[in-house]
Amino acid sequence: MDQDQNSTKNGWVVKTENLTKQFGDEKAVNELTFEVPSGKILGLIGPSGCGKTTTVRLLTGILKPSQGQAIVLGSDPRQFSKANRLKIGYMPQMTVLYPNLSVWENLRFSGSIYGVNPFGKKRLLEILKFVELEEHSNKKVRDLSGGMQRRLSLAAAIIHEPSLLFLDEPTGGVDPVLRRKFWDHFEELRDRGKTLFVTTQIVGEAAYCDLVMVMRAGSIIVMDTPEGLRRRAFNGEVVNVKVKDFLKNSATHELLRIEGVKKVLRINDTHVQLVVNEAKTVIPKIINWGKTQNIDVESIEEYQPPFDDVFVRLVKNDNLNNQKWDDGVYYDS
Amino acid sequence: MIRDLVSDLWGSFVRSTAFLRKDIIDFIKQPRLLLQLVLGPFLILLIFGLGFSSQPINLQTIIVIDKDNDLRPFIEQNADNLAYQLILVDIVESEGYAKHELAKGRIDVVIVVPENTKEKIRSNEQPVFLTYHNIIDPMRRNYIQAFTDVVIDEVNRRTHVVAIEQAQEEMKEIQPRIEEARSNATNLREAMEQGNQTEAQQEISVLHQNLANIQTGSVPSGWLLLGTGGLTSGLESSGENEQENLLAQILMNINALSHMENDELSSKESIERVIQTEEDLAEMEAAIKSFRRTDPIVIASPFRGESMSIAETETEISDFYVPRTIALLLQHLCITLGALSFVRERQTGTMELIKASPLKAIEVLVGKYVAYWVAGALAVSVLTALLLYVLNVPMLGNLMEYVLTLAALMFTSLGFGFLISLVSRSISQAVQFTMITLLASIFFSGFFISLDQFQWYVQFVSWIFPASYGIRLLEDNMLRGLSIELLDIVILTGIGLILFTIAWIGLQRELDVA
Repeated sequence: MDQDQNSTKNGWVVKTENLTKQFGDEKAVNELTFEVPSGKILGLIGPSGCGKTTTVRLLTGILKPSQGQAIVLGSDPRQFSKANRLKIGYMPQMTVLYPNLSVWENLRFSGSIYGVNPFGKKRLLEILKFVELEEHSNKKVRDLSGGMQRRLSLAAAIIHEPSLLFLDEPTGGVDPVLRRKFWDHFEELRDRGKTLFVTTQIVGEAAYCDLVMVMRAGSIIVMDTPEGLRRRAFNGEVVNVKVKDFLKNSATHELLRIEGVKKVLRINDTHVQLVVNEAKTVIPKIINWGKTQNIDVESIEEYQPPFDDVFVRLVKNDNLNNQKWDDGVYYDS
Repeated sequence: MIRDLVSDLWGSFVRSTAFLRKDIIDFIKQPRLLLQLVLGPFLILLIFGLGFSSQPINLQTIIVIDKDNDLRPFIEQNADNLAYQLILVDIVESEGYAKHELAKGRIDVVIVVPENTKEKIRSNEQPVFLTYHNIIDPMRRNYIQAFTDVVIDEVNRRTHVVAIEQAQEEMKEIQPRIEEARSNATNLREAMEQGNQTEAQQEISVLHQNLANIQTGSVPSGWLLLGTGGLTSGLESSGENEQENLLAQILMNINALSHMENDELSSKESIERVIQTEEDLAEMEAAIKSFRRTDPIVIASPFRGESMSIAETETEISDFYVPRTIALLLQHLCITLGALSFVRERQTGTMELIKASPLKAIEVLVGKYVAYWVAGALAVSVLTALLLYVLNVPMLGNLMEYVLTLAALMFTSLGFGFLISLVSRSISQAVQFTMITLLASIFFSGFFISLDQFQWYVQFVSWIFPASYGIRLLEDNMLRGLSIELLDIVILTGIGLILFTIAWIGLQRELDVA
């Protein structure tokens, strides 16, 4: 109880220290140390088999760590009390629904295992409305589309109003439109004060998270805000500069002399990409550079690289053992 | 404090009912499964009842006998009606041909009649009727041996009847001579009482001659069989031919009289001797009359047997199998439901949800027990109604005791099922275990073979299966109208409780953090 209060006081609901899980000789999860702040969406991103599900299982008390420890809602998950478990919602990676039962019956089952009054309808109707399945409540699950089944799984995970949600790849196999809706639901839940721990393989979903943890081969590569990840991936902010005429090499080297410009990547004869410390302070200087060099600049704008690129770059960086790029001019290959 | 307790109990109840409701709905929403569980056994019993013939199995038979065999006329005359089961195909001389037909499966049995039967009997030897068959089923083999015994008993019986008829014919000739001898004895006594010694001597001579003729003229077998006639009036027998001895005794008396002097013939002692002779001859005459009057079949087979049941109803074979089928099917249904339960939850991922939820092993287990118990009760209720009101199967016992038996049977069978479910890693493995249990139950629960026919250690194994108790209890309840054996219920429920505890521990271990 004290620990629970501490966690609230400290602002985190999940805290791990060197959390490790070994299956035989293989380390599925290796020395994870992180904190999940209360009332935020933490996205755990990584390729298939990187240890996301194992991490969730360790945090929900399904698996016992081989080393290290986790504190969730102030308790060790291995010794969760009934009260702890009632505060946790879990949506497994696999759709756990009974195909012969209707949407309503499945939801009532999920509610009942968390002690939700089986005779009450209000909460069920509320939750069906939230996931937009109220018109399908009498349909058998086997007659639902894959997306509807995932929505029902989400409803089943939050039926008992948990304060901490573990959602293991909730958008896996879901089309982009519906995926967006899912994230709207997650944001709404976050806004209601819930903490969400969401795993995904879809890198682009990092943009919807408050915090993103990138995992690879059982280890955390990086944990930051989405913006922070971009900065880390490119070692700064990215600015695109397009000119009307051929850009000479000498002019490109002049760009490096501008204060705040760290790297110049030549995309083609009229297009360069700059890595800068802060875009908003560097852009006026680039305009000035155009004028002084008598170069007809077509456009200068801050570029938000897609998270796919960010992820690839982060992995590449990790491969190079966090080796930083040297300042200089690079040519796109 | 009390509020917390009530809240805990309510929470526990709600969590248990989650599985109870889910599993019942899941069961009900599979109408094909319900149909299969109820109509399947009903149709099996219906077809079994309609199609099973309780008549003895007929055996297509060839009899092998030489044309010179003394028994040939007897066999030709009697072969086709020696036994109900014997369907005579042919009487042949070649044993090889008969065995060939047997090997080809065109007949069931070959009976080879022995040769030189008279000589063998005279030399105190029993000629053997040899029966050949081609049956590998041990139970059918026993049937063939019983069939052989029936046929041979009938041959022996008919042989006796023929001999008795022959003896009765002989005694038809002896009877007037005995009557005449008795008349001579009366005349002798009267002559002796009147002191007419000349006439007495003449009567003695005539009587002696008549008796000697009777003794030498009759066939010994006639006297022998006349003796066996005594069996009809009592079981005591000296082992000797009493009538023949009596005749010898009479002759001895008459012989003694013939050697007496005239004055001795009038003595009181001599007259008493003649009176005794008169009485003996009267007794002999009565015995012959009785022997002749008695049906040769009664003399040959003085006794016959009949069996009567003290049970309140005469059961048809299909009725007989109803309690067995209910017990076995209910056991199988509950074991299957239980066995698939946790394996399926594991496969669909629900076990992971359960592990992450506040559910306790006992709450899951109780929910599932009650759910499947209700499902089983639903299926067996419909099946029972169909059996009682459509097939008119007797229900002589107390309905509440019937329900109690089924409840205990389901409880214990579910325990077996859950145990299988917890040790199985896949659905196919659980199904395999279930089928092995069914097969073992068919053999060892008394479904086909009575448990008394097993060695004690096999019987010990038999009493592990819930169906063994179910069959005995349901049979007593439904067909005998007896009160159920409480000890059986206690043991059955006891096994169920042990299984429940094991399943509880097993599930608890599975739900523990891995």
